[in-house]
Amino acid sequence: MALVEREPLALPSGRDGVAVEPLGVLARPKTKAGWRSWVTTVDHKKIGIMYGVAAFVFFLIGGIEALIIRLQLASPNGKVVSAALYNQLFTTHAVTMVFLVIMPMAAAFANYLLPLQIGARDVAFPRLNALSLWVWLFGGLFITSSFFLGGAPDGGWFAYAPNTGVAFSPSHGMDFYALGIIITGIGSLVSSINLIVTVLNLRAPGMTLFRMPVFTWMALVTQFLLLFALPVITVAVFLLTFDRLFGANFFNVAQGADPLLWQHLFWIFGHPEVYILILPSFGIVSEVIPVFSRKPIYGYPFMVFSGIAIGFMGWGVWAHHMFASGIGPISVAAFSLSTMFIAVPTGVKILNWMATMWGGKLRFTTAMLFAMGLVAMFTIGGLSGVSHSVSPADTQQTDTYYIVAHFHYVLFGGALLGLYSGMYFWFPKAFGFMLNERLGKWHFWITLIGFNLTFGPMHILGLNGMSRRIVTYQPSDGFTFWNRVASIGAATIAIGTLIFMYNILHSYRSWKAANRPNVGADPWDGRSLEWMIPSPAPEHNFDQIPTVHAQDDFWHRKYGEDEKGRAVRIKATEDVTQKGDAKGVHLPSPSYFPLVIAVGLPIIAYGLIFNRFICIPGALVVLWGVYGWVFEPPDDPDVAHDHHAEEPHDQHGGDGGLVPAVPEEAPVG
Amino acid sequence: MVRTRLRRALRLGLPASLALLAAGCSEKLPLDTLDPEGRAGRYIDQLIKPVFVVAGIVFLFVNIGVLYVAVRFRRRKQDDNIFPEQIHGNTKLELTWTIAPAVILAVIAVFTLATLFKLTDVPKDSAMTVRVEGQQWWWSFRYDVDKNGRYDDPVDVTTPTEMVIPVGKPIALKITSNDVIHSFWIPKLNGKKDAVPGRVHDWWLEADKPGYFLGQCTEYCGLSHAYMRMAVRAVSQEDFDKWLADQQKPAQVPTDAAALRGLETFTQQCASCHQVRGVNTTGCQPLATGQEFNPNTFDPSKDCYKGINQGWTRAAQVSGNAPNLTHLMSRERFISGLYELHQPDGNPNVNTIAAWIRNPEDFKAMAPTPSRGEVYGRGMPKLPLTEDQIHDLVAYLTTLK
Repeated sequence: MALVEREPLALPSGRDGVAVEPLGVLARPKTKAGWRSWVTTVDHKKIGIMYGVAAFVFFLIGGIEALIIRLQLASPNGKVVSAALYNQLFTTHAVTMVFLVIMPMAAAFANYLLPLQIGARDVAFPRLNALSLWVWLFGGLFITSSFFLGGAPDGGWFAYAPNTGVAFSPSHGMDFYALGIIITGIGSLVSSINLIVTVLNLRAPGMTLFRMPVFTWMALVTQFLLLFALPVITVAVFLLTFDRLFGANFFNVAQGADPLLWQHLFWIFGHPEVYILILPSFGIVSEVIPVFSRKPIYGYPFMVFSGIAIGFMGWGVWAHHMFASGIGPISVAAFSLSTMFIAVPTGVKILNWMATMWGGKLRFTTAMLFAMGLVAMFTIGGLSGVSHSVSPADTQQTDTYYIVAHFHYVLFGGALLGLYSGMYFWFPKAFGFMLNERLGKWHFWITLIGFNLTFGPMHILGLNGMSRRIVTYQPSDGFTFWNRVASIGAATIAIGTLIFMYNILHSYRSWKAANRPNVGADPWDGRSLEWMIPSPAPEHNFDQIPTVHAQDDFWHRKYGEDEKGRAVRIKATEDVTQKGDAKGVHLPSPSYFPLVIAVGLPIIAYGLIFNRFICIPGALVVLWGVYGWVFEPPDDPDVAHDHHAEEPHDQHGGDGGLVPAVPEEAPVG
Repeated sequence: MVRTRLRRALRLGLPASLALLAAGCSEKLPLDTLDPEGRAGRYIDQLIKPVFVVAGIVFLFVNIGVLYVAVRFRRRKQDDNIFPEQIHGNTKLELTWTIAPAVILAVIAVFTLATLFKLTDVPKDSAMTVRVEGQQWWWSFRYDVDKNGRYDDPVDVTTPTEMVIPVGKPIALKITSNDVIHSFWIPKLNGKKDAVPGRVHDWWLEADKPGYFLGQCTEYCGLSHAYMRMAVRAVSQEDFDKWLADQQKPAQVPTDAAALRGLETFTQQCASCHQVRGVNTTGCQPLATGQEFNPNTFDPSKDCYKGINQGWTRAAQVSGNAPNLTHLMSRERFISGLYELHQPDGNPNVNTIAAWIRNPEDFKAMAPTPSRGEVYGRGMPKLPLTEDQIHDLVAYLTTLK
C-alpha cells in the first residue's frame, strides 16, 4: 500500500507574508474558454491534447521529409534534392520523428491518461506539466526553424563525432541540433519527474501498484528511463556545443580525443530511448486488446515484470550499435549476449497478447486492428533485431537498409501503430465523439499495406548491400526495383494519413450535424477508471475519487463471474459511471509563467548561435518567468474553494478514512 | 534430437528462405551480403542463414497465429451478450514461453561467439599487411611490402580506391581514418570495420577466386558519403607480383607533346594535392588532421604539397592529400570507384576523365570552398582550366600506366 495514511501537514499557505500581487507578477488568468485558456492551462487533459496535436503537426513535417527522401531514392542517380539537402532531410526526419513525434505523442497519452487511470484529479505538479509542454514545443520549433536560418542539422540524428565538428559540419545545423535537444530534453525530464511523482503518490484509495492498468505501468517505466537517459544525452550535446561554439576539444582527434566517447554517450541514451519510444505503445495495446477480447490481460504480472525487465536490460545493450566500431571482441561478445536476451521479455509480451485474445470474443474495431497490427508487425522488427545481435552478421547488416527496415518495423510497426490504436480508442474520451469506424478501417489497411510496401523491401535492399544515408545509388547496384516499390509504399502511407485527417474532420461534422449526441462514459465497455467518468472527461475528472478493489476495477463494478469463470453483468453501466456534475471541486489555477519561461529558452539558444547579446533578453525572460512563478499567488482568490474540506470519495467498500490522493493545497509545481 | 530436427529444418528451410530473400534479383549484385566469395564472408553467411530460418519460423508462428486467432475467436452477431471465460493467466505456460526462446537464443549465442572469435583473429599466414586509410571521400591503401611495419619506405606502394590482392591468401588490414569516421566494407569478402581517426583497427579479408569486389563506405561521413566507394581486385599470385613490381616504379616522363604540356599543367594545377612518383615528392607524408602547413619545417624530400610554391599557402585539404595518380591507368575505376577508367575495348575513357576534370561536382558532391571555421575545403575543386589544358591533362594522365 503506497497510500498516504496520515493527514497532510498543515503548512501555512504560501500566500501568507507575500503581497497579493507582487511587482511584475501577472494575476492568475481566469479565462475558461478561448485560446487563452489553452496557453495558460495546467489541466493535464488539455496539456495532453496539445502534446498530441503538436506532435501530429510535427508528424506531418517529418512525413514530408520522408516523402522527399523516397522521391529522391525512387530512381538511381536521383536529382530531386542535392546531397547537402538530402543529408539535412534524413537528419531532421529522424530528429523530428523521435524527439518531436513519438516521444511527445506518448507523452500526450501519459499526460491525459495517467491521472485518470489511477483515479487522480491532476498530476502532482500541474504548472511543471505546462512547463514541460511549452519547453518541448518551443524546443521543437527551434530545431525546425533551422531550415530557414542557414541550414538544418546535417550530421545524422546520431551525430557521430568528429563529423559534427565545425570543421566538417560548418553550417549552424548541428548547433540547432545540440541546443534543441537540450531544450526539448528539459521538457521531457521535468515531465518524467512529474509523472513519476504522480503515479507514486496520487493513486486513489485501494489503487495499489499491482492494480494499476498496464498502460500506467509501461508509462511509469518509460518515465524512469527518461529520467536516467536524458541526462546522458544532455551531457553529450553539452560537450558538442562547447566544441562547436567555444572551441573546446572534447572530440578533437588532433588533441588526443577518442571519437568513440561520443558513441558511448549517445547510445547509452540512445538505446533506452528505443524503449522510451516503444513501451508506451506496448501499454496502449495491453489496454485495447483485453477490452475488445472481453478478457482480462493474460498474465498481468508477467506483462508488468517483462516491461520492467526491458527497462532494466535496456541499459545493458547500447554497444550493439557499435559492433563495427572497433570496441574489441570481448565487448562485442558481451553486448551480443545481452542483446539476444532482451528479446526474451519482449517475446513474452507478444505471446501474452496472443493468449489474451485466445478464447476471447474479438471485436475488430479500428483500435483493435491497429493493436493486432502492432503484435504482428513488431514481431518482424523484433526478429530482425535478434539477427543484429548475431554480431558477426551485424557487421554485414549495420548501416545498411536492413537496419532501416528493422527500426521502422519497431518504431512504425510498433510504436506508431500502437499510438494510432490509442488514438481511436481514447478519442471519444478526450473529445466526446467517436471517430468513424469505416474510414478508420480504410486508414488501418492502407497504412498497413503502405507500411509493408515501404519497409519490407528495405530488408532485401540492405542484405543486397544498400548503405544507409546515401543520397543516391548506381543503376548497376541492382537496388532500383525495390527502391521504387518502397517509394510507392511511402505514397500509400501518405494516403492513409490523409484518410485519418479526413476521418477526424468528417467525424466531427457528422457529430455536429447530429446535434452532438452524448457518446456516453463507456463506449467500448472498458475496464479501467477513465471509462467511469463522462466523455469528454470533465475538468475535475472524478466527482468522487473511486475506491479501488481490484485490477480492472471499473469492469468489476459492471461484471461478476459465474461458476464457470464467465463474466456476467451485475450492474448497468449507467449505474456505475459518474455524472461529472460535481461543483466546487478545488483545482489548480492556470498560470502564464510556464509559457514565459519556455519562450525565453530558445531566445538564449538563438543568441548562442548568432549573437551572444541576444542571450541577455532571453535570460531576462527566463528570470522573469521564474520570479513570476515563485511569487505568483498560489490561488486565484476569486475562486471559492473549501479549504481542507473532506474530499468526497465513494464509500463503495468502506475503505474510507484514507486521505484522498489529490493535491489539497495548491500544488507547489 | 533437437539438433537433428534443427538440421532437418535448416535443410528444408534454407533454400526456401534464400529464394525469398533473393527474390527479384536474379542477376549478380555487386554489393550482395548473401553471396560471399571469401573465407571471412562465408563464416558470416554460414552463421546467419540458420538464424534467418529460425526467425522465419517464429515469424510464421506469430503472424499465422494472429490471423488464426482473428478468424477463430471473432465476435459474431449472436455473441453480443456472451462473455468468454475470464482467464487471468497460467504461470506454467508463461514460464514455458519465457524459457523456450531463451534456450533457442542460447544456442544461437554459442555459434555467434565461436564465429566472432574466428573472425577477430587475423590469420597468422597473412600474405601482406595493408594500411587502409579513409578520408573524405575516398580510400587509400598503403602496402607494407618489406613487412617492417612502416608504409612509406621506397619499396612500399600506395594506391587509391582500388586494393589489389592475391587470391586464396588472407590479407591483414590496419584500418584508420584521416578525418571523420568511415567504415570499410567489401560485402562479398567480409563484414565492415569502422575507420576511426586516432585508432587503428585490425581486420582481414580473403578472396577465393580472381574477381572485382565493390565496396561502399558505410559510416555516414558527410556531404559525399554516398559516393565514397572502393573496390578490391583479386588476382592470381603471379599477376599480383607483376602488379606490385609495376607499382614500385616511378612514372615515366611522357614523350608526346600534348602529354608534356599536360605534365606542365599538372605540376601547376594538380600537384599541390595529387602525387605522381617521379614528378612531385615520392612517398610523401600528408599533413595530419588539424596540423597546419609550416614552411619552416617543410622538407621537400619527405613532405607532400609541393604546390606551396604555386601560391597555395595552406595547400592541404582537411582530409589529408588527394589520390596518388602514379599508376592511374592500372586501375579499373576512378572517382572513388564509381566510374570506369577504360572503355570496353581497353582504350582510356578520355571523355569521362575530361568531364571529371572540367567539373567534379557533376560526378560527386564536393565542398571545395572553405566555409565557417574551415581552413581547407573538402574534395576536388573546379579548377580554372581551358579546354586545351584539359585535353593536355587527359593526354598526360592516360600515360600513367
